[in-house]
Amino acid sequence: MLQYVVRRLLWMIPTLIGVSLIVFSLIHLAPGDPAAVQSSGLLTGAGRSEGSADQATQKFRERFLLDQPLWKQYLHYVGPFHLGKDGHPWFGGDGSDKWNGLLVGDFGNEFRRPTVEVADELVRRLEVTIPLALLSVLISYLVAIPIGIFSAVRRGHPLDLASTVGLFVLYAVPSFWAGLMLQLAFGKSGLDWLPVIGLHDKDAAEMATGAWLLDLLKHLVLPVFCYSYASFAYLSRQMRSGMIDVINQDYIRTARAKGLSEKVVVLKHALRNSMIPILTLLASILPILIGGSVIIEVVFDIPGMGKYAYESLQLREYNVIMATTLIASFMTILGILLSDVLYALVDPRIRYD
Amino acid sequence: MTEPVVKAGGAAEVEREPYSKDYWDNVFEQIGRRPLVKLALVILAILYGSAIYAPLIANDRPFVLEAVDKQAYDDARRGLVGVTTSLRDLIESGREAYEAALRERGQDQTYATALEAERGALRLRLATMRSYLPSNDHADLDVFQRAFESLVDEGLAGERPLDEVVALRDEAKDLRKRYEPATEEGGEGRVLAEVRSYPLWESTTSLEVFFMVLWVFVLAWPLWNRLVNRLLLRGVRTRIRGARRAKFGLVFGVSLSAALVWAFTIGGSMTFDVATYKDLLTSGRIEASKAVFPPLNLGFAESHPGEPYREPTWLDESEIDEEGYYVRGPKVMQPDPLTGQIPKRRPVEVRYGEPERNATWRHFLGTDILGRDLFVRLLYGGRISLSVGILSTLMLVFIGVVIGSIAGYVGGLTDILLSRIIEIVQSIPAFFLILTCVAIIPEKQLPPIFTIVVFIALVRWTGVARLVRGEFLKLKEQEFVLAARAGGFSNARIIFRHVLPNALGPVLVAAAFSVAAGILTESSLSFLGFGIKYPIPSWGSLINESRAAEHWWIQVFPGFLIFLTVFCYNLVGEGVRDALDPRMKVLG
Repeated sequence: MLQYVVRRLLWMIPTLIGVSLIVFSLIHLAPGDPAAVQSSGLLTGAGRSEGSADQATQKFRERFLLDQPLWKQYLHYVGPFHLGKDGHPWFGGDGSDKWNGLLVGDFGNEFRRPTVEVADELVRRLEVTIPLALLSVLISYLVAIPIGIFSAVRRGHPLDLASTVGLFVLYAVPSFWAGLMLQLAFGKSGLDWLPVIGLHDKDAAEMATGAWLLDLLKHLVLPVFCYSYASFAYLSRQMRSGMIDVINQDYIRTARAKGLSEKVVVLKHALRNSMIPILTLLASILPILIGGSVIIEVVFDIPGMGKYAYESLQLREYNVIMATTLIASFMTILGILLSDVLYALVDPRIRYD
Repeated sequence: MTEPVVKAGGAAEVEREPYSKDYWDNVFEQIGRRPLVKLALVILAILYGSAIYAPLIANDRPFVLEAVDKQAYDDARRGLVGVTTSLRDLIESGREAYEAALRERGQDQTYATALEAERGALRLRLATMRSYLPSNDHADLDVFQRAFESLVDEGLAGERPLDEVVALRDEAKDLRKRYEPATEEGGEGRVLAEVRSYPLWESTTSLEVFFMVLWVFVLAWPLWNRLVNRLLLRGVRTRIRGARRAKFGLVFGVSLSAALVWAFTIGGSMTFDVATYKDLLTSGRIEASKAVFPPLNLGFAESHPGEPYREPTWLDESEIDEEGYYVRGPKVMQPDPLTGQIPKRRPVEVRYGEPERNATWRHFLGTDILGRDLFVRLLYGGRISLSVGILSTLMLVFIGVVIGSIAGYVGGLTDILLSRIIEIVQSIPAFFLILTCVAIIPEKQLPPIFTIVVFIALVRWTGVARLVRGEFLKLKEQEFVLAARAGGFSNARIIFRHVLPNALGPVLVAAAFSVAAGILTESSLSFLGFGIKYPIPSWGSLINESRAAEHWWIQVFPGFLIFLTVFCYNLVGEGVRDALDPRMKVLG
């Protein structure tokens, strides 16, 4: 088992290299130079002359090695050696800044705010996104499992029919549209029950802990629903069909024949076995959640990683685009690994060698 | 497969043969039993139909126009003098001086081409004039044309008949005066005849014609299919099965030949036509006795400056008075608190053939920031959104089937390698990568619709590939494949004729779901502002136009269409899956 996990972790390396190579070459080969964007927008903003704008562009390109060949830029980005003018002395630098790149944990700096390290900002953003994603996963499972059990046990019950159709409808709703519709319905334009933008009120800093929590909860209701409705619709359908499969098995009949109560049969004998397929679905939900974080965070204006990625794509922040894509891939792979391991843990028949 | 031949009296004999249902018979039968799936198919057929027939439903060009284009006639009439003046200048300067002057400016045009250009310009103008003049009124124009062209010929021969050109110019001035159109008061001048033209049909491309004809067959399928089966095939099931391919061929053949005929006749004559027919008709510069517009005579890019963000016109708040002010609701103009003045508004402009200012049907789904009708934009937007779904699916199914069959059929090291690649691609968060790629590649290099389709396919082919690989692994050890191999068939034949048709069912299901996913992806990208942009909208980019709560109609209607399409595709996918494998049944 441990060997399997280690091997899978090692497999991550080529995958991440592949992803980084694809995205890196894409963003650097596509026309539209961030140096031009940055210098035209910001550096010349203070009424500088043409010549100094060119100079500023040139400096910018040198600083971020944008004037170097692509392979050199990539190696510089991966590290661990700084390949610029003030880089490692082995590569012709003056040695003032020897190390750089992913291998020393450096995601580079933002172009727009050169003092901000992407890694720091990313941590700040992930502190928002990860709890939100985990909360959504938790809620999806907590909602999906009871619905699934109920529908499977009481097949044909009007409530089963209603929930099946309802979840099927819900599954087809585009998440950004759901967000907009919820904002219309519950925001100021509609019932005015819930705040629709951001995670906190403007005066959240002065609130007492209780009020602050309540405020946060109110802000979380709509985004978390948007995050999770598609996954719990999907999960509960899978739960239902998995449960039906299990209920038709011989050992369930045996359990019933022994005279066990229906409750024990369902919750003890059937539930555990029908959980197996549901757990593996974690792997397919996670990438959807990560992709969805962009949409939900843009719709609800939440300062998480998705919003960060969205902003960086608009501003052509190369380092941020690279960082967010890599982190998203990393989280996805980790999710797949996690669900495989969980699978082996709940089902002793499954072994990885 | 040959087309079944219907023989008299043969039907009864065939009828007695036992009929064993094949794969597709079962699938059709299962689908036929599900009313929900049938309903979904009907809705999809209507949605695609409305996208295909969008130009015939809503357009600012008329189907038929019988009119005098006074503007065009007057432009041509006045242009006669201009053309003659240019000719005079050319002949005055002569070949050497003209070409030397051009060379100095770095241009490279010969004297001869310049002369020929003038000849062409004159012919164009005279042709326009003739088309509006009764045929007995052409004589003067013919004389003028002959004189002009003989001068051009002389010029080409190197002569410089300056006096004659000057005389011709006076003649042109005279013509300009004599051919003035008659005014309404009936004074002197020429009476112009109407010309019939077909602006809408002329702007229809042969690709559009292909789909329009194809969709007639699709929409009328329950009817003609039943008729053909009853009358032509006498209801004999083996014959009906045999005729499947012939029917497909017929439908595609007819559509394709219609498109080809169109390309060489009407479609071929298509000219670049930016005429705003409705403006010209409204202002009276075109006088029409007959102008047949589609049911909705609004173009997808036609703006109404007096009606930005107007509510759906069946709502009371949408009422606008004559000066362009809202009568009730939150949009009623309040006087400025400092100056006490009410900001100026543009009055609503009701163009030729449009419903009146406050008619219920004027903009029944509202308008956008430029006063463009949302319903019309939804119709045209469906063309983009729906085709992105189909195209990306075609592409990803192709990639998936090729890679999956290679991995499954060849096996060994190839299989291991391809499976690893599939695993790697699968561990990339698809939407994130598609978003990054589409956002980074600039519109100038690749049109965004193309980028979206390609990247959806490049990221999402793995599901189909895994399915096909699994099916191949399962099927390749079965007797019929072994028999085919023992029979000495080539690998390609075994793959395409024996294994693949049997592996197609699950692929079909996956395809239905991936069309839905493609539409969702495109609309999400466009909603974020990275996908389809102006001028032709997609459903997602329409929502992106305003996120303000007071413009709710812009968010509600396009989103509902996306939802409806995705829902129908999910239903169909689910239905086909159940039909193929009843154990997986979830709905119904």
